[in-house]
Amino acid sequence: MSLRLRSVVEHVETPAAGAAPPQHTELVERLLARVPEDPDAPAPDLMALVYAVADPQGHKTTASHLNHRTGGAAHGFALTDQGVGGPFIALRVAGAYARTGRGTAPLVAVVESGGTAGASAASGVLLRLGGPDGLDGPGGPDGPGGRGGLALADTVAVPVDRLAEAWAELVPAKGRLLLVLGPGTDPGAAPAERTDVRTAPADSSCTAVWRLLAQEAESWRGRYATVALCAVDTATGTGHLAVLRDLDDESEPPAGNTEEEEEEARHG
Amino acid sequence: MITLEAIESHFPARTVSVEDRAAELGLTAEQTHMFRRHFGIDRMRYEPSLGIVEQLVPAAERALAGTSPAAVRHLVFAHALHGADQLSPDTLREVARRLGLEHANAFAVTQQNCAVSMSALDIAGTLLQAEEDPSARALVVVGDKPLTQEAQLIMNTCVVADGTAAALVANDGPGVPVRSFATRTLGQFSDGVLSTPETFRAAAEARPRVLAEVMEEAVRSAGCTLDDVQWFVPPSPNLVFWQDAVPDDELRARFFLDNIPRYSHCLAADVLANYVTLREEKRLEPDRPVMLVAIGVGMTFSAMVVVPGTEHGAVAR
Repeated sequence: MSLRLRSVVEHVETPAAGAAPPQHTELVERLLARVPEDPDAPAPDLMALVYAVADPQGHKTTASHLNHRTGGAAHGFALTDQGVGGPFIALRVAGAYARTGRGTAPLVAVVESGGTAGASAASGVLLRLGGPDGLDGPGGPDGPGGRGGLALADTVAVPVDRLAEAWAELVPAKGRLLLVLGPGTDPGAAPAERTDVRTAPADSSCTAVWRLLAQEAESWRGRYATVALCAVDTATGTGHLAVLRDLDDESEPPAGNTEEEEEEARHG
Repeated sequence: MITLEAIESHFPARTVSVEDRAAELGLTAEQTHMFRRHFGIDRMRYEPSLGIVEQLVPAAERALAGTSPAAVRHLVFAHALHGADQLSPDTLREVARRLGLEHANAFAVTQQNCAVSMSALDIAGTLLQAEEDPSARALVVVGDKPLTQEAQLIMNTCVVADGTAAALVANDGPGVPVRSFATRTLGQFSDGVLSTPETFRAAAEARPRVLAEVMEEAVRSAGCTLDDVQWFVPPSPNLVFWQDAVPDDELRARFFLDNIPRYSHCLAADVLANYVTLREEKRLEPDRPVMLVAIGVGMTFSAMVVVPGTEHGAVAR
């Protein structure tokens, strides 16, 4: 069961010099203010607040707060200790719950207070996903929450020395691949064929590629059969990949099919 | 179905009386008296020289006994304390290294306080269910090592002690079957210990009702009733907490509170550690439901029904 991307919003700010960076709850509130109206969207039933660096304050459970602010019906928790891999793991958990039928409307919020090496900006991204339930979202059927759009196909962790190979396997037989590259990745290793590369903002770490998704996802619809977001946790040498398919795209499935499937694709 | 192939706990050897620990924390004689007489704490395990990694590894090693590390696909670290001043960012990576699990998908789950262990079990099990490899396993390690006085002494009602737990999780394995998991979060109480007096009162008023609802949901999903449950296994903040949260005397009589005077409160590890005590003391009857149940500050209510058999250490009377 693919989880369709209903909406994705970002927030970014540069803390004033000498000022304390925003806490996670403040970032969550700023994200919620940007979420588009979606009256048909079900309340989230699974909710993960993701961060690489913990809030200095250790009392408020921001995950509980976010749960309350989005309907209070979710199995909610904070997911951390995975560096830039956190959002990818959260989506993997969401996909697992969806596949077992126990979480068909997940919400993932990624927050980063900033002020650290590799994350000078404070930022956040909030993703709402939903199963193929046929409900229209903002903008009607062709809008970002409509029946089409991007759907989460897979999330995997790959040793960094096999990333280039993994990227190459994602290049579709027809259509193009968009690689959205975040921290620790090497754009020079991108496949040469039918692949475009976008590089995420350098002032963010855990939120980087997701910010680009929020900024440009709508413009990618109909242009790319496959969108792959990638970031590398340099501490563990792990590459994290989230693969999104365009539900509107009628291209062939990506390279890597059986020989028979390739032959049929070429000759019909 | 999610199954728990092994459940283990670890307490450091050093035992201190509540009086000695209270003195270390700078409590008055009156406060110390309250902890013994009112909150029911006699002694606890506390070893300041042992960090969280040194405490997590022994329980984890016991849970992994007989399992090839290669089979462990996921390592989930459940911890209650979530402020930046409580845990080194390298903790989980070091635990993985010590256990030979650097290959595993490792992440932490938090912000449910004492209820987080059940979510961790459910998340680990669900990842395995989606992967459909019957030989795959997930290891859940649970524990905290509070580093500040504020986290070691919670609102003058709980003295946090040392203790950790671990569980090896499978999908459709031969372990203890998890029949249900129910959870609900009341995020209007997310300020936790920094809540206003009015919010504290509202939380206290809501606790018994919401806890009862979540417990009912768990037994309903498990196909049994509260009367069928042989033990309710909760965290161990103190004796008074459960008197308020579970006003039904008969129901509360089945709450396992014996570890409160022995071990005080070990935060997120309590629930699984208390289960281990029941098993080791041969107080689990086979094929009768046991409910793991918790209320985590912030406020998360969780209940999980498991049914141990004789093969899991339950003993027929």
